[in-house]
Amino acid sequence: MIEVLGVKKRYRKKQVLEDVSFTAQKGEITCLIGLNGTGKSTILKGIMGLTPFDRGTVLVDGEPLDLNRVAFVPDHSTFPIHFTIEQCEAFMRDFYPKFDSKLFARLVDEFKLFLEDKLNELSKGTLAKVNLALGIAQDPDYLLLDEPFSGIDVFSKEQIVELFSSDLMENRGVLITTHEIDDIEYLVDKAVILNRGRIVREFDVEDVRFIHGKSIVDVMREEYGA
Amino acid sequence: MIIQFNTRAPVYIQVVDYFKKKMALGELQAGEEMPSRRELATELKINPNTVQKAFKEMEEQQLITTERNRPSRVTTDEHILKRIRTELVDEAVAVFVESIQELDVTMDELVDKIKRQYGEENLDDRSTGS
Amino acid sequence: MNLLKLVGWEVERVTKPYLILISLLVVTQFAWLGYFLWSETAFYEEMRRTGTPDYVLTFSNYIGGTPFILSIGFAVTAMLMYSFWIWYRDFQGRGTFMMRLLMIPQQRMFVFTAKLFTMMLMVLGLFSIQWIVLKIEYIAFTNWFNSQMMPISGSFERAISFDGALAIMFPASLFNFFVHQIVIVLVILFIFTFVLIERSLWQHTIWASVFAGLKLVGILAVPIIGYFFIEKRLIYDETLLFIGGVLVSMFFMTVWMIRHYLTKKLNV
Repeated sequence: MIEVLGVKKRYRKKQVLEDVSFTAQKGEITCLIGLNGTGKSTILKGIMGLTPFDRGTVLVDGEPLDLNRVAFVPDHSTFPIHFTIEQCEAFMRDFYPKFDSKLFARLVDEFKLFLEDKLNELSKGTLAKVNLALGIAQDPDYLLLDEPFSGIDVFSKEQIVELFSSDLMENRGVLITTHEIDDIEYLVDKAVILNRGRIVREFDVEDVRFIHGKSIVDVMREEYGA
Repeated sequence: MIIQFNTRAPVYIQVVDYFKKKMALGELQAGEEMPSRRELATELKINPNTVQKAFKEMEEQQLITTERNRPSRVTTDEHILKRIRTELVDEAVAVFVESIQELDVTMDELVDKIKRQYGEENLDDRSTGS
Repeated sequence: MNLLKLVGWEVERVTKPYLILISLLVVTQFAWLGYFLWSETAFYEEMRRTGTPDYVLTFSNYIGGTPFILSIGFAVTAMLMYSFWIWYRDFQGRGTFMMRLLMIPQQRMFVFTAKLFTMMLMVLGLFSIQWIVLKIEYIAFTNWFNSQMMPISGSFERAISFDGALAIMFPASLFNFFVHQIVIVLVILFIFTFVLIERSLWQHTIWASVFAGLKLVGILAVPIIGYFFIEKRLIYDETLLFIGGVLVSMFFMTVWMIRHYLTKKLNV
């Protein structure tokens, strides 16, 4: 379980995260929902220590972050743009002890990627698949994904959605941020709604459907008052 | 296999309902092997935990049986399979009756209309051969 | 080991521009040497025809020439610029490659250590190549003028010790060499500290650079002002001790700051 406990983050005069606490379970897909610019990425980057929180704690299974067990997939490349996919893989193999080349090869195959392609020649959808493959091949216990569906074509979306319901995600805890829930409405176990730097709702998606007959969007509408 | 899901109802119940219908129509026979949970999740593009929950629900309702490390199978209990059919018909009628009541139709008119339309549709079905 | 692999990685990335820099340096110096030998010989011939030449050439005449000074100045500037770029390069795009480096499951200080090692390898590489090139230049210098029966004087060592930049690069004693290397490391550390402070402030505006700059100036100002106060009361040995102490404490101070900003404050 990833526990985010009372974290705060301020950028200059803007308090982006007021007081954020939530949990994401292993073996579940948790979705962090918020409109654009509500600090979703900041939370993921904060968990990874890339933009440290001002206050608060993050625990992974009760312990401080272990980069061997948690992987982050941002919505942009983390390699110089003139790199080929093969060069990215070589770097990962060299420096990430748990990186699994076989698993990566399987993903490359499933996503129909070409190892000799350069990153700056790829479409947004293909780049998203490369990032995802690099993340999953770290064989992490927890996978954090920043807007994996934002701005990508419908077929790439389908492939990625399929991946989430496949055995590759089995036993992993997945934390996804998104501002559009439609793509993953039926994928998520738990939704966490962020508004004005606070968590306003945290709920089991099936429970809300069962007890209140509401969809995730219904709950969002209540919170955002749209 | 495509299910048009409703976002406002629990997905696992929609999955259960889908299989109930298949059983009632005989598309899934008594004792037949169910698709694997993993396959189903990928095919329906839904959360594997939801499929798991649907299977658990079906097991509780004794629609399927699962032995250790083997694929689940549709129950061989004819009573249960019959009960599903009755249940589905009852549910559909209940929905129908509820909506028709709002329109304040007399019983005679209703029965007459049902006889005419239902008969016509069945005739249509036969003539188009579907 | 990850640290060595990281150094290898950093070295690999700089190899091409580094080789270009070295070639530029060597080509400029040899081109200047060719011109120097040719023009001096021509001038001497001219003098011989019109009267008695009454001047003696030294190696200092060559290394004091503008093209030579410019070539050294260019190399030093390039090194200083690269001390910034070795970090900023990884922040290009949306903070991209730095993210990858910082997510490697290892001590974050390795990222810094690898960059410092790489810088030092480049500096020492440059120094040794320059030393070899100087020796070759000196041999060409003496052989040519001897063959032309032109008088030359002064030793190689004397020429080096009279030259500002070269005397710093190649001091006469090993002890001085180490001291100079420590000062060079300190300059690099200050640049690294500047970058990391600047990158730790969220808004990467001009004010972040000003703030980072002021912070470092403040750190430097303390010992310098202190020195003026106690200067007159110290004897020579005590002054040396004071400077040594300042260098060592600066070293630990900057490393501590780099550690602090790199592991706790950096915003990618």
